[in-house]
Amino acid sequence: MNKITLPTDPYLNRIEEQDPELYLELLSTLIKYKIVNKSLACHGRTPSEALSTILKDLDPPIYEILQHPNCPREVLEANLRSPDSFNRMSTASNPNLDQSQIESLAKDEDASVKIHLSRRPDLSEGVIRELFEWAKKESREETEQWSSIAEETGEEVTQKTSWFYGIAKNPDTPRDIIEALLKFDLKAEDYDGSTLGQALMSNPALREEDKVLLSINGVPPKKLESQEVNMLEHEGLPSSKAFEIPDFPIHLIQALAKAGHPFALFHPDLPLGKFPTSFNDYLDYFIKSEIIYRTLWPELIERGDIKFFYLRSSHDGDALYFHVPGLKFEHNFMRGEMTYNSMSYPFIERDWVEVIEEQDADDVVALFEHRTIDEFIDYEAEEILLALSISHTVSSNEAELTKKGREFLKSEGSWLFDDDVEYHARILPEKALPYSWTRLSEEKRIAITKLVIEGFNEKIDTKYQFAEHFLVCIALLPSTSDAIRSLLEKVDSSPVREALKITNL
Amino acid sequence: MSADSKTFNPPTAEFQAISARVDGYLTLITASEEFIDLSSDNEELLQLAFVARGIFRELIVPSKELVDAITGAEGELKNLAEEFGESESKEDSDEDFEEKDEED
Repeated sequence: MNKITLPTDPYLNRIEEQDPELYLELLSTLIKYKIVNKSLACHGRTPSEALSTILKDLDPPIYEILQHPNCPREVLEANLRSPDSFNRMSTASNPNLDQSQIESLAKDEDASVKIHLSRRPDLSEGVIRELFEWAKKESREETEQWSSIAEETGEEVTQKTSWFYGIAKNPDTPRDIIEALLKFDLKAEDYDGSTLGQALMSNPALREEDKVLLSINGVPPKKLESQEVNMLEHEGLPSSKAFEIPDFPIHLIQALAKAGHPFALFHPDLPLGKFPTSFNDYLDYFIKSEIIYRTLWPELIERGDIKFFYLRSSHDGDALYFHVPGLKFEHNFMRGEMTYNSMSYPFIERDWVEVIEEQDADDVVALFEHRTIDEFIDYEAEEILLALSISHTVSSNEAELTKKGREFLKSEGSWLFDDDVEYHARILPEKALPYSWTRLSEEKRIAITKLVIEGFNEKIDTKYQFAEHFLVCIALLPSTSDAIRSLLEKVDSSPVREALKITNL
Repeated sequence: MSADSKTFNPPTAEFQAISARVDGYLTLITASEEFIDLSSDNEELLQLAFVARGIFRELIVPSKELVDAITGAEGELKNLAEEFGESESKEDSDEDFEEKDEED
């Protein structure tokens, strides 16, 4: 029978293979930092003792630990009957459950527990049959429920089949169940666009004739790639977190650099050594950890003409960005239309940026400028209507605010706008250390510039826009040398040219 | 018109009295159940009334043009307040009558 496997941190693995003692020292140091705990719980080779230590934390990543192959046995056992269904659901995904534990979870009354269990590759025939019967019942009930809603809204009625996906993908699913599944609606889309046909097509034991039948039914013949979210990737590698911690022991950072960690390129206290050969392969790591932003943004304040802003928006997503007079452009990033200078994950709290949440009365006036009384009438708060009227009158120069009026606008006007509000942000270079463009050797600065230029020239989907942004930052930085400037002059990008031009003035 | 051409002087006692009266009309208007329905038809007038309230509460210092506009709109606001007030008291008396009817 197949086993569930968890992804692992390749740099930790390398150190573990080469120097087990150093590996244990690295692990025991990482555990001391709370920001690494979740990543460690997602690293498939974290030992049981380390997970026990993490569990002693005030708010441990319990779901990740319960899914871990090295989860302490007593913890796993206790959570099979946890009153929290999320704990039982996570336990259902643990690779080390024995058959009696699997059988007990198959009888769990919570649907999410059964769905997680049905995705296991090590189910016995009896459990597969039990889960199939349950899924048939759920599918029928959900389809009926959906039909009555669809009747009212005039939508097309489709069969709900997502309950079967786990069983459909399992190579041990008995033939009669596969045949039964092939009779269901194979093309009915789930909320995420997936279909039962696709789930069956990804079953490695599916017969050729079944594949032909699925193809006739319009299911693509290509085996579907796993849609499962890689939690380790999502959380960030534990080894990458080490680079984010300002006081992390340098000999351990050096060991990670020796293991080939790409962040070593940005660390000013490490020699150039080997560095990543492709910017685009490591871009996600660079931007998610913010190492590259910590290197390139803080010293931009030395220009004196740069302003940083933070926009909090539930609709468009938060954005942290800067503005330099003479530079204005927009690019399409993966989170939608965003200003060029935005960071991609601005909602993460960071030490090196301070958002100045207090709004000036003038900002509140500006917020009200394009709004009408009608828009606010439903709030039924006279103070807001008063603030709105005063704002309009002040912005059209028909009145001046008194000191009391300024206070009133600040207190009554701004509570409505904690969303879609642009705040000033302050960058704290000392908190971004050790990362700093000035502290890097010229050799490293040239290596980084060349790497980013290469990434830009590859023009891969939206990735080149990040590269272009970083090149603009390098061009804007006062400490960038003439040698690097001449490299940038050869880049075919008007924003980079503009940035060079306004910096040379 | 640019800000430079405006003069902002503290409201005179006479204008303070006008703002106080307009503030009273506004209280009547906003207390009415019809306020939300009728406000969009009288948006500019209501905005002036709220501005007058801002002056009365010493939140803003108006320009001469604004003083003129509020002074000019006082009569219209008074009518609006009476209209709102009347419909309010009419509804009240209707309700009283209905209640009385039910009691009978």
